[in-house]
Amino acid sequence: MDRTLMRSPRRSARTMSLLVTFGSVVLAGLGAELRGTQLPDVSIPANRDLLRDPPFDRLTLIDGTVLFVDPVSPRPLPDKEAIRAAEAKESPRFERVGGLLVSKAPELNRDPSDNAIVIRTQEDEPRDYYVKITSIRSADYFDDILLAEALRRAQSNDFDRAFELVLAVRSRDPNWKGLRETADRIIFLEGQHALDRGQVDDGLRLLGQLYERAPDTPNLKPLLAKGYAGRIESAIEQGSYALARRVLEELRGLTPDAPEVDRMRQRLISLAQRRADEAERLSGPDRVERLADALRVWPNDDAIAERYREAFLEAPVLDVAVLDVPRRPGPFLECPADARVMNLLYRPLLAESSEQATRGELPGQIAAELTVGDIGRRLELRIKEGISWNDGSRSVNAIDVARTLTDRALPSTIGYDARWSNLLTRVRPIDETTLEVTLRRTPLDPAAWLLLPVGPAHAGRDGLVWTPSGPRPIGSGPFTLGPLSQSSARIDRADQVDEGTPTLARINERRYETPADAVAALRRGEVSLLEAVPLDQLRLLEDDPDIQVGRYRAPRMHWIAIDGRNPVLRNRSLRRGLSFAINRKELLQEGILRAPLNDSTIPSDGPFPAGSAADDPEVPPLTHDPLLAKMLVRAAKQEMGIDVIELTFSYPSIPSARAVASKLVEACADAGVVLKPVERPQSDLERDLRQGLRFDLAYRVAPITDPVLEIGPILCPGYSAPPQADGLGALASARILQLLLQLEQVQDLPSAREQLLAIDRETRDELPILPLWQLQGHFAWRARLNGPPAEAGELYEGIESWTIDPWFSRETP
Amino acid sequence: MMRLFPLARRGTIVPLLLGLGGWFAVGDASGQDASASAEPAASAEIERRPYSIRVWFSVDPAARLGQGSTRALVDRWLTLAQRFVGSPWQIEIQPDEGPLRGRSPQQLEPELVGPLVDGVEKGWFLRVEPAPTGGGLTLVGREYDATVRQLGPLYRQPAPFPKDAARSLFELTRRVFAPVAEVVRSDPGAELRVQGAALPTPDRLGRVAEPGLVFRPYWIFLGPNETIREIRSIPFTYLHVDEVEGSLARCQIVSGLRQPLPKQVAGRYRLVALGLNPADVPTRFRFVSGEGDQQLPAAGYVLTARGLRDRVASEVGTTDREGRITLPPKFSDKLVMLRLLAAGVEPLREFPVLPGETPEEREIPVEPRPEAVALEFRLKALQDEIVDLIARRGVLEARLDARATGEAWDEVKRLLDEYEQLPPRRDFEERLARLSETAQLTQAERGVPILTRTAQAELAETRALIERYLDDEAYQAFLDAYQRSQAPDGSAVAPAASPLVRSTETTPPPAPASRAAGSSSTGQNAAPDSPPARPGTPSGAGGSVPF
Repeated sequence: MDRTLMRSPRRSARTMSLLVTFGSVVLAGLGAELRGTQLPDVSIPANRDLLRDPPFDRLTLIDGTVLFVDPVSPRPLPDKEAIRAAEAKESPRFERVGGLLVSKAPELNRDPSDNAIVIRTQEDEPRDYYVKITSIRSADYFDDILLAEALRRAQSNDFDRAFELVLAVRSRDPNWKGLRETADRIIFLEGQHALDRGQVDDGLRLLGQLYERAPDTPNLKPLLAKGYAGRIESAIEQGSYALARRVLEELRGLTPDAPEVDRMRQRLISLAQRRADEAERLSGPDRVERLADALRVWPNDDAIAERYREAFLEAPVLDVAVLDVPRRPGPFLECPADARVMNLLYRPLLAESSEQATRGELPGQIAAELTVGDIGRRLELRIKEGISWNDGSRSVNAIDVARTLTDRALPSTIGYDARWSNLLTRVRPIDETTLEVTLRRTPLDPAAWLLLPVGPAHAGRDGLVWTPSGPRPIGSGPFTLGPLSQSSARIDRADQVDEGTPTLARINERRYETPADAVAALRRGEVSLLEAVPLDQLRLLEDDPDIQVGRYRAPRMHWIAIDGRNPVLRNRSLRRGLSFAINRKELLQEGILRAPLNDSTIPSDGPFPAGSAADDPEVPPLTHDPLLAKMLVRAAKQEMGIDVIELTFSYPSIPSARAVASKLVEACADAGVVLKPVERPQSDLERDLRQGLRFDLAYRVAPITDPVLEIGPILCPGYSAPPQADGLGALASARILQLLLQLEQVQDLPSAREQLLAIDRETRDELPILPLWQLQGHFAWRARLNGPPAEAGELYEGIESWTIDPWFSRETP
Repeated sequence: MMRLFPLARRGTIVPLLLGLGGWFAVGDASGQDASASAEPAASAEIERRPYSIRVWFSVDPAARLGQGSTRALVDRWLTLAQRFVGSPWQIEIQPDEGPLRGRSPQQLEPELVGPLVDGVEKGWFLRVEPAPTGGGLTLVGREYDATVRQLGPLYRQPAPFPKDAARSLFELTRRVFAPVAEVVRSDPGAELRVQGAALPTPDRLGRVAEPGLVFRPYWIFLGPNETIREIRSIPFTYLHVDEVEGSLARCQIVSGLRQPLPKQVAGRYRLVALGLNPADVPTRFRFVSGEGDQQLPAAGYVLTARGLRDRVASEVGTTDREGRITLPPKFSDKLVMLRLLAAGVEPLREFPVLPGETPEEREIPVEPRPEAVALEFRLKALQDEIVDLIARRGVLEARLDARATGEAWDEVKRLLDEYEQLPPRRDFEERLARLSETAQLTQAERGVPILTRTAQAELAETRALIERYLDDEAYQAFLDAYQRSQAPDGSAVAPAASPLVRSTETTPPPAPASRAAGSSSTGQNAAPDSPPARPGTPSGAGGSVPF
């Protein structure tokens, strides 16, 4: 039988006359809109899985017989009324005899295939039959059944299943009548549902798609306007004003005449105006920030923009993207973030260990003179007069310095330094401005021990001074610390500054979740200074004409610290195996630089920067040999009698560590050591490590400016921790520990250098740390910030002379 | 007033313990009798002589122990002492607190209590204190021995149940009591005549000397008229009682000195020993190097400990910046041998110690030997390099074996080239020789110990590693096979000049029997018509990697 019969329009009276007489589930609840579009309205058999079972059509014959058959052909069936009319015309069933219509005798010899289709029943033993089309009262096509079921599912908020059914129809016949209408309807329902549930973004996305496909969908525009308005409200509540404005623009493009457009616009304008009015009651950087807030809400208000410019010129504010913000505001160095801001908040006793500093010739330090006597065991310090604490309470005096020095020798204090405790014998204030420090032995460089931030003696153990507004950090530096949070820190210009008053009235430090966010913030202008440029984005920033890039003077050394208090890590073979497992060159090129190596960025063979005085050039590089790594790890397991080695690998949330952490884990896994990576904010991780808390492996970064003083804490994070923390126990090699402690006793520079070279050499063999690489650190700033040098020792070097032009990004989110 | 209680006769006297300090009442006449008997009979044999013990007793007011309770406590304690120890202890209770007035036993000094103990052999200073945790009591006490003029460590004994405090007090006095002995022979071990050891005791618990007890020997140098000129303890020396036979205790001499008890001693002297009971106090040491102004703390050195009969030592800890290290209380109740190691490898000092013997810090000089330690660690680094090389060679040899089996000679050639890039054995031999020569020279020039036993062991181990694992037999065999495979007639050709090949000249060629069939280190022994055979896995060096 010919199955390629011409299709004729199937929409005839079929759906109109379809009587639902069977089936267990009846499509219910279709909206008026649905009925208005004349979508198929069919009953759905409940005993079939429409997506898994074989497709079928359901035929109802004129005698009421219902047949489930394989999909018929043609689809849809020809119009039976037309067939019937043609048949009647061809052989009228009545003939006129005289004046009467007489019934015609039936023609028994007609071909059964005339105006008939072959159907195959879906029984255990399928059979084929001829059925005259005119004998079929109605046909429910499988595609229509699928679409009806899809609509039913959508009504029940089962949108996934609904779209599966729609997709099934599309895969059978993309041009099936009603397919597009059903899909649109389902999208409409899902969008409406999302809006009702508060999922505004999803709802708007769906309705937006529908608007592009079928802009004339009934009720779509009002629904869109309502959704966009909700989205704008939500964005305003969350402070995402740029998003609110963007959504408003989209809404305006969709429905310019909707009342929500004007309503939302007025809402933003009035909010901006309210903030601008509030700013009038403020002064200084608070006024600048409040006007900036107003501009963030509605940047097109020229009047507010002008007021902002004037206020900014009076009280410039610098926004900085940093790796991490400080955690504890006292005069104690617990993490790199503390080191960054400490000199802003607290003046050091000595700014440097140079002779100029010991003669008191450097600005910004407290000591007026340092005299060394008794072969270096007695230090006499004279304090500069006239330096006041920022709370205006009194001047800095010898008691404050004595407190600072003695605090660092008490294990119960935050700033305890075991080396200083071991060195210090006595601190004796002689008068208001002079004090005497007696040491147990002669240190190599006595002045190097006095590069300490000095806090007030009237502060508590945490370094905070109780004020009417609560405990506050009070220093003598050019800035004071404002509110701190996990992601931001505010640093204000101090009211009581005696020399070198900085131009900047406020510094806002912000920590961004990812390095890309920080770079994007700089490029947008949201921040004017970036503490650390990810090396893979260095070129991007260098090419930006509005951005300048500077470099840090000392390279940043990267290494993995090892906790020898874990007996597993005391095994030398294991440490060697881990070292061999790391492909330093590849990780550096592909993970961090995303470019070939250069002179300043190289794999390291020890703790010291290549070419420095403490670096032994004869030390061979650490190589990568995965096979040897496996063998050594296996040997270590055999030595220790264990089958599995599982270690925790902590790494800071900084770009370089994030870039390679997973690859380091993989490399160690290949060697047979399971690492559990744990990402932590750098300040938290460093603070814990320096307090001597236990760990297994930890990724660390630091510049090395004074190898004699810094090598101990580099090789052993808890080197200066209180004795009860057993910080020295973290050093996995007894030999290196001995060399470090001997270095503390060294009193002359040649011996110190020899000892440092020995440490560098033996660190290569003993591996108390896993050296990784040394990187050239960079910082970047917007051109509107004037003052940062091209090369600096620390981020805020020379900040007293920095200036910044007023500017506001209209694109700031 | 003083009261005396000779325990052997205690049943005959009236136990009038009337007053400790202000509480004790005046005693009776029987005490006077006892006082007379307490005089040490100098002429009596030492093992038959009881210990005359003078006891001062005080009660901390915070202990809330009344006069009657105190009296009952002392009475019951004396009863227990009589029941378990008996005649060896002749206890004389002092009526007042004496040196304990306003002081705890911890604050006593030998100069303060020495004169008070005149006429007796021991002075006990006991005190009842409240327990630090709240309930019960804590009893503390220490002993002054008049023979060696030593004040013993402070002992603490918890008495959680005040009604049973007498039992705790008795246990405390058992720990406080240190027997005295005379050393009668000192070669090879020592025999002690322990005072009071021949006196009968009602219970085994009361014996003054038992196996396991530890004595510390003292020289008592005598002046004219038997006056004591000097008392000197012998450092790092203990006498460990192995067995007791009658009143004679046979001891093992445990010392950190080569000859702790020399026979040739100038002057008149007595050699005595004082028993030691470890107290629950930390044992403190400070290790220093150098002398006088040059003295430096021995910081960062590893201390290990082992039992006398144990071979394996465990790490105690590392000396701190001041060279200090502390053994915690109850570290061990037996003698332990401590060893200080530089960098965990070079032993600097080994000495016995009884943990808890004294709360005082002991300063121990050491010779740091930095040059020896540096040499040992250079050797360790060299050993690491050798082991790495052995592993790399092993991997290459396995690959060569597979390629040669498959006659993939191009691959074999590539691997041989790779093999040739590895450091040759001669490099390591030369480096080892240089290290050894430099150490010898420096040792001779400076006169400092460098080639110590440990350093020599490391040298020998390094040399053994090179000799055992770094021969070039495997390489040569594969090279030979490769060359024969390349010869038109299959015969071997002369080996190419290779540093590896040259390096084998310094070592004797391997025995023919051990070589692979059809191959030799020079190729000269190969049969001209032998096929280009795959070399067998070389024996010894290349076959196993020391992992």
